[in-house]
Amino acid sequence: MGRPFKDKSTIWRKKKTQKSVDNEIPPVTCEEENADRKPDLSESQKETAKQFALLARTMEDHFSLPRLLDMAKVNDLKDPHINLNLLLKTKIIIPDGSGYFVWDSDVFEKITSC
Amino acid sequence: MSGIKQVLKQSPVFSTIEEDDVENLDAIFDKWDVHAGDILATIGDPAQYFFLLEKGIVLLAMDGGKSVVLNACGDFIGMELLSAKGKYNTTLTVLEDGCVYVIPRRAFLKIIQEDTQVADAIMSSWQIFLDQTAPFAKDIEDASLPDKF
Repeated sequence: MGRPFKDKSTIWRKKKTQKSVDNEIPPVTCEEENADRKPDLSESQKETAKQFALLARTMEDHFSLPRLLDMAKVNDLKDPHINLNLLLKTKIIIPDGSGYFVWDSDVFEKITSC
Repeated sequence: MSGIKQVLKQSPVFSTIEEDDVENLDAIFDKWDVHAGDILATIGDPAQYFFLLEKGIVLLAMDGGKSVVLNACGDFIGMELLSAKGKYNTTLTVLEDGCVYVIPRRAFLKIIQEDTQVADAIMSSWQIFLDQTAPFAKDIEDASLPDKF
């Protein structure tokens, strides 16, 4: 039987919490470090994020990510793949677990306003 | 340990297979560098390859608008997640530069159709990976038999 990858990370997090209680610094893998770090957006990237926001506003609350990417391409948004990826990394766009995605307006406002 | 062996060890789908079997798989995989905007597979095209992600981020767009983003080293993009009846059933687009290991679809299906421990290990792990990563993909195609992929 294969080892569940996601479960492994869940167990890892529990151990981390336990170790933190013991005032020990837990080792952090590169993957975890990268996953937890939200990239800062440049002014240009913030502008593109705002353009993505306008497109997302025309879609359902739970929208198709490939459809958003297509719309970004059609509307000549700058570097659509890279900027869509940034929206995912910053968690402005998050998966809903059923194959669609949602736009987190609070995170978007927080990131684009600073 | 070479790149592909390390990725196989980290993969939720391949991590349980024996060292000798890793050696055999090592010879079948080819490495591709990929760049943001690259399209690795297109819905409706003949399914030639399955992919094992080492680095980067890819978007799997399924028919009907659903999709999944894969970004972890060792994520496997194949079988019902990528193909059905010999054709790609998703479009695979690169969102962030990286590299993938590529295995010919036929070669992979040959491995999992054999009555071997490696086939059992891969199929068991694959079902767990699929349940955790994209359970909704199972609704798209009844993939109870390997030759349906």
